[in-house]
Amino acid sequence: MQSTDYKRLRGIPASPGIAIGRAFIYRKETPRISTRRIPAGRVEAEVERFLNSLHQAGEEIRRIQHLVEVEQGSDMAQIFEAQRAMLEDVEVKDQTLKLIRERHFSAEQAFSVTLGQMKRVFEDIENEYLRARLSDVVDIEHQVLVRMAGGELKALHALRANTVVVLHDLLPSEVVQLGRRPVKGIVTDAGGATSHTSIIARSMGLPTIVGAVNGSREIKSGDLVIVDGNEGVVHVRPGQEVLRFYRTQRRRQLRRERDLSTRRELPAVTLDHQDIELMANVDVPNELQLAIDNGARGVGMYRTEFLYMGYRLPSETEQLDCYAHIVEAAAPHPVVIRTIDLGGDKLAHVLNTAPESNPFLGWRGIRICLDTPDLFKTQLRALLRAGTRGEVQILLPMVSSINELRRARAILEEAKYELRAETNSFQEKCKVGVMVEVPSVALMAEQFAPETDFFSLGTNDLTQYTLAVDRGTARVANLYDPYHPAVLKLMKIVADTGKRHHIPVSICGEMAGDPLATILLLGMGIESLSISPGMIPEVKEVVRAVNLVEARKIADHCLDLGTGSKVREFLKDAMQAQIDIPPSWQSWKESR
Amino acid sequence: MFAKKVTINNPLGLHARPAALVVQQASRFKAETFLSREGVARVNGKSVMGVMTLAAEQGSEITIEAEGRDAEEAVEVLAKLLQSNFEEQA
Repeated sequence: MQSTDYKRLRGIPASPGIAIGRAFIYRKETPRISTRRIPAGRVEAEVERFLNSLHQAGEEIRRIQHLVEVEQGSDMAQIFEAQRAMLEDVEVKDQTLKLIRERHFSAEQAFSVTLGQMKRVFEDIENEYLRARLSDVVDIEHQVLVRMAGGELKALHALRANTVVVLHDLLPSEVVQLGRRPVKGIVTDAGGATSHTSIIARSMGLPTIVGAVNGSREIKSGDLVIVDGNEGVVHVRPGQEVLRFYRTQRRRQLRRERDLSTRRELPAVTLDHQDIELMANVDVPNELQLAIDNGARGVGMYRTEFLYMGYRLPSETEQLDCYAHIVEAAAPHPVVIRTIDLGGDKLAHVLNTAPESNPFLGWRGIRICLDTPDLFKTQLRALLRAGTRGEVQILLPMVSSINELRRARAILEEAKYELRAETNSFQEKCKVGVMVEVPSVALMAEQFAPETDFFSLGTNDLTQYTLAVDRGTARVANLYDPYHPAVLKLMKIVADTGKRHHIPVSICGEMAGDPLATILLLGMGIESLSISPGMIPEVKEVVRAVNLVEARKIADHCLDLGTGSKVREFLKDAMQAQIDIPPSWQSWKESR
Repeated sequence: MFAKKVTINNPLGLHARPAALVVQQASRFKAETFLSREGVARVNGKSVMGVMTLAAEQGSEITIEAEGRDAEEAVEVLAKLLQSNFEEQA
């Protein structure tokens, strides 16, 4: 039977694979508010809960603001600037805290009552434009209340098997929740710049399409949909023919996944017996299990930024708990933990920051750490102490000169000295590595080599800094290309330097998880890849089919080519000749 | 206590964005600041919701008051800002 209202929606392929299922349109609902009084002993906990939710809602608005700015320009984004100012309003905060502390209202009720008073004042304003701000007050209320309710996708508890969730936009934390439910795929209206969501969806193996404009309006709950995460197309209410085609595709994909999982125990060794270390990039602690299941040999990069998203800085003990948990789970393999890598704008609530016109080139990463040694030392102490539960290696982000490495090491020594004096146990021999993101570090690798324990190639930022492209800016995103020979040449310098000095060189950028890049990376002499957990099996398959002598020739040739697209083209041909490449990777590569 | 009375010149009045700018400036000072519009309200100069609810349109008279160490400077800065067109096209 041919469906009459069949539709194809185009979007951005964020995570490959094919999902066939019934649509579930998710719309956020305002949670109910408890009017019960809280016991006196819980008042401060309630205050903390309120402040945290307020801060998180602020971060969410900041994120939306950025997205809107990228997609619709700064005029539209000002709406959210105003919302954020309203959210941070001192009167609202003071009044809410007063109701919690003095009248023992729940955080929800206190906030809602406070905003209720504001809403009444707004309703009385005669000026139409100002009265319209009422909708912003309502929006803010909604966002904070959702946060306080746990910010969970509540309605998703009742999902049936084979569901494709369609929604306006998705937070990274929400994707993680979806992965554990009977969800087969995700379609969002917005997205594109929020690459974090895509990275996580990919690591969970959930076929995902973002930026399918109007998806949540065009698709109705219960519709049959096909998510083609390879091509970035959503087929809505498809006819028999389309359906048959995709069922076959999906069967092939499943067979392949089964093959991969039975081959999980096989070592990552090239045809000529070179051992390759495959490690996992872990963003949120939940991902570690998937990494272990997929045969990761430790964690090649663990990001710590999420610890700093609360309204106050995390204490040493809080950090220690978090690091110890992951270090223990990964033991006996090491965990490379990257010290805080945030821009000053993200820390405005705890540090004295000034707005910057160019945050990418501004006060961020190691620069902030060295300027605020107390903040840095707290993290280093927690890392050193966590090292007693397994092996911790410290990775320093955003380094641009050797002095920064020296100063960071000096602060690390201070931290050790303190811990020794306090007779706290810690990991005495903790390796410290430099992340190669700024081209200057690659060019000066020879000078860094005697003073660093390892190099880690952060190809995402290395590409952005080398090509002067912000990939979050839609207009120039197409210029972002980690295969650009200029980027490859910098990587090669580091790989060669590492070899000469017997220092490990690993790669932790997204490129490491791209099966197309594997042959090139191995050919350049990189022997440790840290990748998104979901991509480990596929990359391993390529590793096992590579002959290093051949790979070296291929890499050398790539370095002589003129453009990134020429490099990719050449690699595709080379892979086809050497390796049985499944169609699902190919199409995914082409569509990017 | 320092005080000064000014007239709003911005054609669109003291709407959301100007209100946010006022609050941003007021928050730079230690002094407590208050804005009031006769017959309407007296609000905290550091509260954006408060400043918006003044519903000050073009021609409205606003009294700025400040109390504290840097009060005098705060009044001057806010007075200058409130009389400006907030970098908007007229």
